Amino acid sequence: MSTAAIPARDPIQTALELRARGLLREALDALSVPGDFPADFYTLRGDLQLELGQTKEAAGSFFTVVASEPDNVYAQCNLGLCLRRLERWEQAADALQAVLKLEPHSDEVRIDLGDCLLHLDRFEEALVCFDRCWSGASRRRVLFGTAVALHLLRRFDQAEASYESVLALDPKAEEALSNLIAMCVEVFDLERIQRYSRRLLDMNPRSEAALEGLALVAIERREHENAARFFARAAELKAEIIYAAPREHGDGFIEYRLSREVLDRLTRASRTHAAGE
Amino acid sequence: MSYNQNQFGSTVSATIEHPVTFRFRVTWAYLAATPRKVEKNLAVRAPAPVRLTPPQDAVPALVSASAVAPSAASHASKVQWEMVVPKMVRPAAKPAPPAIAAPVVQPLVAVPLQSKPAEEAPIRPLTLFAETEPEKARRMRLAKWGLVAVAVISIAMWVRPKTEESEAQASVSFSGGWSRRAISPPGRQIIAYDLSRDESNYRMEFSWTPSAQPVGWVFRTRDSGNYYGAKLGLVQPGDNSAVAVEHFSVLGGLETPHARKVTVLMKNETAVRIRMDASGPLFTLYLQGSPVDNWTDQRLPTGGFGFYEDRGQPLAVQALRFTFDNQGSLSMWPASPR
Repeated sequence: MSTAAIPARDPIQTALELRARGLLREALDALSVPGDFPADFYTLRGDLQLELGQTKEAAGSFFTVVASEPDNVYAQCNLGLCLRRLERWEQAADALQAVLKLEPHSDEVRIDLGDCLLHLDRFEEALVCFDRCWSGASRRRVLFGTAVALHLLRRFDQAEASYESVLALDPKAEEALSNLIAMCVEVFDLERIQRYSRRLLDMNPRSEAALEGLALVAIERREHENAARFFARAAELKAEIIYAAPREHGDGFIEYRLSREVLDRLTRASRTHAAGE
Repeated sequence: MSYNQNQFGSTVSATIEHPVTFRFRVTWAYLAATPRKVEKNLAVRAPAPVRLTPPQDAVPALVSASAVAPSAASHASKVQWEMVVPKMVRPAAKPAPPAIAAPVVQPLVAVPLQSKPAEEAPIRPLTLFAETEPEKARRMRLAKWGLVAVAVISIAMWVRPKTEESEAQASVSFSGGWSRRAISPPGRQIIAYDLSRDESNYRMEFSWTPSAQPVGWVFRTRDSGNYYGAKLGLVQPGDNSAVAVEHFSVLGGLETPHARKVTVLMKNETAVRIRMDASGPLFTLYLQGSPVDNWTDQRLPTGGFGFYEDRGQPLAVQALRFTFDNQGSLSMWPASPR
């Protein structure tokens, strides 16, 4: 790639005009010609590929730009975005870190990086990453990221406080509550599981996490009718998953397994309840 | 009875020991709640507002005046500004606030008092490839910007507290487009720069000497009952090491709770440089060149700026300067009343 001469001025102009007319694919075709082109050529091509959903190809275009212009923030940023979409977390993290070297104060990029680090199980680094965010506008998401990092580091008290802070700012943050339920299941705090599940259920009556949390609490307390009721509602929502789903390795979740004996009890309770009605 | 009592049949007949599993997952999709979008009409290198060099002016001594005092024009001003000119015009349909810049101060202790949390930060505009713009028009535009990039003037002003008598006045005008008038709530007055009345996007910069007397300013002032305000003051009188920044809005004459942040300054600061950027719905506040707070609010899209003083709290600011953001580029106007 050459950055000096601009022999491909025409393809760029053509592509720009086509894009302005909404002809994205044709615009991309105009840039699909062999030759020695400037960085703008590849940048525009990457843009078009992204707009057309060709994430992998777009990553290639932006990588081409970055290879010759490592300080090109725009290309680095979009490369990171593409890699993140492709769930290539390690490479995405590298690209985003490169962006942060050039733009060290971008919270948006830092949050993206934190997300990648969480996926890479680099929780401590993610925590530091979120800690470095500063802007009020990103506060809710930063608090959430911090809470997740603390959660995964098993610093549960701090994680709970952070989740609660998120909920104070955004009372409709369902994910904060479902994570709190997961956390409380992990420490098996039935009281809290029930409390957070009820909050979540109030917010979303079809929340699987809330229904399963309440079913779990009822099972543990041997309140079989209640358990059967919540279990049935949860089962209605995701019957295909809840029954003996294969275990997925490397996925962050807490399991609560129901034995056949428990299921028998639930079935009996539900029948008794039905007969009573 | 809302559920089917036979629905457990498939599990009862299962042969495995634990046929059912509840999975409680830890997820963080919330982080991507506002996914960054690659927009059409993009540019390779987005102009970053941090490229504006911070003011380098020495803070002049306070000048006493009965109102907004015109200072000697800034013959001593050595402020260097770098115009940030986007390569091409951004699409009008997607006005994009500038990126957030540079925190140097340590993380703030935020005390969110606002009932409504700050909205998400707008997506940083990444633009280069705009719609094709004729070269001539572009040059004309650049030339226009060059013309309006006039010297920035540092002024000093000191506004004495008004008496009850003066509060009765609806408005008192001064030279250079400044005026004083009473606004809500009772007892508050503003010294407004009237020429900014119809503006939306601008930057205010001034210095404040830490003292027991806070400094307050207004922006997007539509009328006496509708405006945004911000205030900076010491957390503890006599201790210059920590300041509290607050912002609030007055809508329909009612003042909202103040969103407040406390930030730590270097010891023995003799002056605090304050910068306030209003860009679309985004507001960013800087102290000593470092951003300390930003928030969004869309309720007042236009309106002028100025300073306010509450009853018995005279205002003292220095090194005042304003910058208007015009059509995506920053242009500067002399700020001092003539």
